[in-house]
Amino acid sequence: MIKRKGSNMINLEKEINKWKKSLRKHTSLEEGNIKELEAHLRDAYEIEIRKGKSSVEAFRDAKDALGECGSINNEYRKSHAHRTEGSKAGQMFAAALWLSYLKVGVRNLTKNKSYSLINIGGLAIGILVCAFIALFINNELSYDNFHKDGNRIYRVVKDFGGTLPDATTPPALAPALYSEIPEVEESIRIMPEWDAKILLRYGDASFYESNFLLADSNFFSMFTVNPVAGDLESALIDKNSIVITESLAKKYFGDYNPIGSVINAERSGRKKDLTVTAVVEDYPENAHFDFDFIIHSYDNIDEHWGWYNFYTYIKLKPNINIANVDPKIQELYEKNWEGGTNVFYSQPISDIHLHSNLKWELGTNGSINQVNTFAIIAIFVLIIAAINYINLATARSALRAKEVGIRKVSGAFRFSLIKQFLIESVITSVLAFIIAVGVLYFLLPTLNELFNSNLILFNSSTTSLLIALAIATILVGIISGIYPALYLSKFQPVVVLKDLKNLKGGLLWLRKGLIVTQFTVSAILIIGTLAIRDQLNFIREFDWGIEKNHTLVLRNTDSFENRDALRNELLKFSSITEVGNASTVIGELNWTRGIREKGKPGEEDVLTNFLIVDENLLNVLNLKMIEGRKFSEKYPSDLEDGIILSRKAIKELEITEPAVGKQVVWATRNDTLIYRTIVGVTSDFYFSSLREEIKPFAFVPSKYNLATTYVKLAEDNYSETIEYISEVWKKILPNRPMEYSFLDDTFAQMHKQDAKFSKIIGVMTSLAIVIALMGLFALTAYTVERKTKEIGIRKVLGASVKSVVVMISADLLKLVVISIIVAIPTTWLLIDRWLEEFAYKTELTIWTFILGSILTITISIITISYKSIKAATANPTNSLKYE
Amino acid sequence: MLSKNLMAASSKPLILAILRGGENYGYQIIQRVKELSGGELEWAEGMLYPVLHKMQKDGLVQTKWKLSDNGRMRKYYRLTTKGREALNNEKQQWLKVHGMLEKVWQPDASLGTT
Repeated sequence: MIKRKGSNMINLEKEINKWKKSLRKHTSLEEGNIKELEAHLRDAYEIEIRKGKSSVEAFRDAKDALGECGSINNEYRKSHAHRTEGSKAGQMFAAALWLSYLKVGVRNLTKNKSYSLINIGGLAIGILVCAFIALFINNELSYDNFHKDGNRIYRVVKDFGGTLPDATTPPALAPALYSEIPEVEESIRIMPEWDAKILLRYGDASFYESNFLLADSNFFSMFTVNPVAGDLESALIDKNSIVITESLAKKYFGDYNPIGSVINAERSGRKKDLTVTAVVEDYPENAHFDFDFIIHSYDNIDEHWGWYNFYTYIKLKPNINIANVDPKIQELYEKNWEGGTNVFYSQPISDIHLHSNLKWELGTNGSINQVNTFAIIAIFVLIIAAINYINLATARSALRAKEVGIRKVSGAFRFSLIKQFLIESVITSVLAFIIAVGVLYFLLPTLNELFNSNLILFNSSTTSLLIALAIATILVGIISGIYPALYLSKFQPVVVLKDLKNLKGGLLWLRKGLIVTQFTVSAILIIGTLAIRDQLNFIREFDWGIEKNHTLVLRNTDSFENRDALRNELLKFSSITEVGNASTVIGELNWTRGIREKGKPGEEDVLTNFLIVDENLLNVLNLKMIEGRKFSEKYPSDLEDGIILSRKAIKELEITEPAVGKQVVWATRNDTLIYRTIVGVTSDFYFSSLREEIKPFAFVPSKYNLATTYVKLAEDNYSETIEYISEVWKKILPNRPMEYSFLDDTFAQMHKQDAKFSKIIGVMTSLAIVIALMGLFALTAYTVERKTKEIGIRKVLGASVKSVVVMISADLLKLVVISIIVAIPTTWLLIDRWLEEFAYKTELTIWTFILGSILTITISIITISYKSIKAATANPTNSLKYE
Repeated sequence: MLSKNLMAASSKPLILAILRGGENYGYQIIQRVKELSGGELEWAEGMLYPVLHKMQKDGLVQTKWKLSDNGRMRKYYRLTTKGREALNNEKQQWLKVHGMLEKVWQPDASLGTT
């Protein structure tokens, strides 16, 4: 009978792994050899078990029969040696040598799996962040770079009244520039018709379209657009022509060639037939404007100097300096529009996306500050990752000092040792690069969604970027490898072999310096993230002085008679508490106009945003009156000459209180001034980004020009209410699609860029922390490894777990604390600068810094304690047996 | 007991001869060598592998990893043409040595006691 006692059972897998580990210490054994020996051991073990031996005996006997690792290794080495002696050609030898460097490199990586993982993983994360940011920046910088002769194309813009930067220009400007300034080779007007919707019909297909441009016929000779079908040069000459993009063609015509087809267009009840004259490729996303189709512009507008609705672009003749042209533009304007207060100037088309932030921009532009910030972050993250590598490599290299010593004793030249270390670190960095690009490829869709971007990893514009990044990575590899390479290879072998302990002193200052740098960056990012979040919370909780929550805005309610019917029907539903109408959505782009108190000269005009409203709108917005009253049907004269101003407007206009009853100059018609009488003053409210100072606002009542309907909802049951609204809509406006949005979304839109910025910073911070912690973790592991014996002896002598943990952690924590001390003032300066961009901002509190510091220390402690507690609780006999 | 040197010298022809009977894997080969030696083998079993490794390098055997019945991977060795030639060659040499020794060990053959 076979007797098996519990104590005679062994964990076979564990034993085999231990045995394999000891085999791996022998450099002549390759993985394949080890695998074969393992197969043998398992076979032998099974036979021994079958003979009736206990598992302990069976394993021991099988292992003994196999023989001693050292001598097996020697035999293998003999066969290697024989091979190299055999190949006499020098080249072969050199190749074999390189191969062996590679092999040893790979072997070293696989031997220290956890170190390698941290090393490669850390670097990969760094590269990933860098690559993503590089893609982002590459995309931002590529805006409007695709135009032929793009360096000669400029947009002409103005400062409205000399003060308000505004992108719109009068339609008379472009033709005048072309005919009167000889340096201008070509000029063009485009116009987007804000908020207008055109109903296009072809056969069964009919959709509302809003992404279109009105343009002069030379659009395609100014801007580079790739044709698909039709002749672009003549495409916009006919008044009834339409040029569509490929996507739009697909939407209406499928695969059928649309050239010559007639599309019916309907706008505000008026219908018109348009002939498709050309199809073009979809306009690139990296452009400051976009369109799905282009139609012919208005006629007889060439003389209008007071109508600001058009965007003017000019192309200069070659070798003309724009600085010489700008003054001529202003001259031209002043000559044609006497007494005009606008100041005209130009912007290079490729600068618009990152450098222009005017009113009425054609799209959401980026910001050069943001691009710079991200570039700095990318470099930071890469530096952290590189520091990690150097840190780990130097830490590990001390452990490899023995190897270096033996290699030197065996006749290795210093150069060959340097090569070995460099090849190892280059392998690591290349691996990290491959992993980073691979992961980014799969992660990019998610990241694009998160950051609301549309970045592509592989296309013609990113090739050189990726190559540059690959070269940078290899450079990081070389730089990271060069220090340990030079440092270690320098030693006299006898020193290295005799006294390993002496080595650590020289590297210590460097390692500490690196860890401090790394944690300083992490701490800056952590505290910075918290501070940015503070500001965003401040914005969220800011009292805007206006009811923007629970307010739904219906669009397309222009030109229809049954406004009251719509209001009454809607109010029947219990969850709808108020309904009002206005010209546009407050908080989006609002109209502006210069107004002044009656009796003051024209120069004292104050630019004021205004909304045309009915008598209910101020109730929907829940604006508080600090003087006078709201508009009311009880006062029919309101429609004629009433106006309500915000407190800020009263202040800017320098109207003395009481303001009610005083008059302002509202417009000029045929040289006659038109006045409106102030009937009320609202308390201050905010309708633009908190980056800007509060601005004056005016409400003017009218029965016309009302195109949006505001619906105030009770707090709950949105979906049911919206369903009810759409039923009412269908009944009263059966021929129009219902489009709605929420007012708080409009307001959130103002800080979309800030929210995005915070999100990206947040993600970067997490990654930076992960990389820094990986470094700290590895360094703790290294410290523990070096101090194994010390810990053992201390424990035998009666040290408590706590004191051992403290011993290991104290040094490392000290470094973290130093980092925080450096980080706090730096972050303060950086965040203070960022906050300066806001007119309304949170106070930087000490608590943010304390919280950030505590956070940094806490995660550091957790990271350090994992390894150190493990070491401290280990049985001292094990650690003392070691060696 | 066979001496270490002799064992080392004879391992190559032994393995070649065993493999002549068809492909086989390390553990089986070594068991076969053990059987043949009648338990007089002083070698550690593991020492077989460097020999196999060298024979592979010299092109005498081909190898292939195969899944065995018990679900483990094993490395199988098979003779190449070159291996067969080597076996014949070894055989000739060993026979020659054998013949020489035979002759000198005949009781009536004296080694030149002139």
